[in-house]
Amino acid sequence: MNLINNNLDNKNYIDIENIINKIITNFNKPNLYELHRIDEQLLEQGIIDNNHEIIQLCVITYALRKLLSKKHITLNPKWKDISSKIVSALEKIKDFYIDKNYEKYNLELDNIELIIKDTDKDLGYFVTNLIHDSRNKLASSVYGYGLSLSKACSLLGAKKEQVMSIIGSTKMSDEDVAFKSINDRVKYINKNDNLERT
Amino acid sequence: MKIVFDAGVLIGFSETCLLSLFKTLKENIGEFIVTKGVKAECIDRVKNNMRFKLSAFRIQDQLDNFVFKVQDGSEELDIKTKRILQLTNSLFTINNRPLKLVDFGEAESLAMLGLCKASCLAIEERTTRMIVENPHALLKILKKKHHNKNILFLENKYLKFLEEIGTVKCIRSVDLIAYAYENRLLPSFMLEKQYLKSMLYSLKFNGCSVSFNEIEDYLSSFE
Repeated sequence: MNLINNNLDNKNYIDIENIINKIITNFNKPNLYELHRIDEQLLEQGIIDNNHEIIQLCVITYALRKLLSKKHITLNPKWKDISSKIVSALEKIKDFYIDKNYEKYNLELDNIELIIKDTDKDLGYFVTNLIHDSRNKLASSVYGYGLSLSKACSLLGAKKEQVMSIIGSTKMSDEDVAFKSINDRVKYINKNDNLERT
Repeated sequence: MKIVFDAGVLIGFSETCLLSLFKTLKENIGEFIVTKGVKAECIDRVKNNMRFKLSAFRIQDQLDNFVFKVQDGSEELDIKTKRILQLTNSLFTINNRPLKLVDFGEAESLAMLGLCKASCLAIEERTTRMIVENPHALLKILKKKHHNKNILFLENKYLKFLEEIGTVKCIRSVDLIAYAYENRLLPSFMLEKQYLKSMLYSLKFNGCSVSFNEIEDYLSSFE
């Protein structure tokens, strides 16, 4: 059975054990393309299942991919120790999942998030936090999938202000079919306002 | 006219330093209402975060100056919000399972419309707007993004949803700015067409769901 969280009535049809194995393999290689495919798969499933635990694993996978893409991090002498810690945490996550120990599973997810945060703080160039940035970026993707802005932000634990700014930089609004123009909407306001027009 | 505002429009105006325009807009349009949930989202949730604290202060100032009326919560609002949330989150199914699209905040604003007899929702994001105005357009997006998985739109649920909210129109920040421009409600230095264009673009880049084509079409109507 592939249920991930302690809400056993929540039906998540995704092979988490296999997914975590793939994350470990592709993190060790490293294969950023495959990690990207995994985070996309997790995101889509998390949306369909409205499942925070799957989304949390997606955030971790996304952030790991981002860490791996930064040479100033992976070429740092500290990286070897950090990556061992990450793999060890991923192995624990898998074991807790197999044992159906969902409380420890979630705690270990938090732990790996902390490792990523600390690594980014210690070795990264930006004052913003990689985990938060990942959450914001993924929330904008979730919005792209058709969920409302608030729903996307609450699912990812993202900040609306920042997600709006990311959305504004994408082509999403330009790809949508406009069914009412600005003129139509202004006409509506004009028709119902308090202004007296001659 | 009464307008219920979602958090996005307030955030959009704040991020583009246009909040001061709300006072004039309100004087000429009618009553501007926000729910307690929207207030919490724009102010309480971010006031301890230095990245957004200034925005929270600016919006608080609008509330302190009674530009927006913060509508108190009530049992009636809670019940209606839950009904709307239940309906909106079962309008579409994917592989026979309901697709949860909308969050409490948006549902509360929709519920508030009926309770305070407002007929207009100011909302920046597209999903709630599309649910209200054109759910079939949203269905197309969902099908495209979810690779045409078995996604269905349940018309009977939608009719019940419409019964709940009544006749509602949606506007965005760009529509309010365009209205202010056309009615010469902007300060004189903002009445240049280039200023209008920069405001519309700025709002778009801050997350308003409007396309470049829509903006350019609108601007070309003045040529």
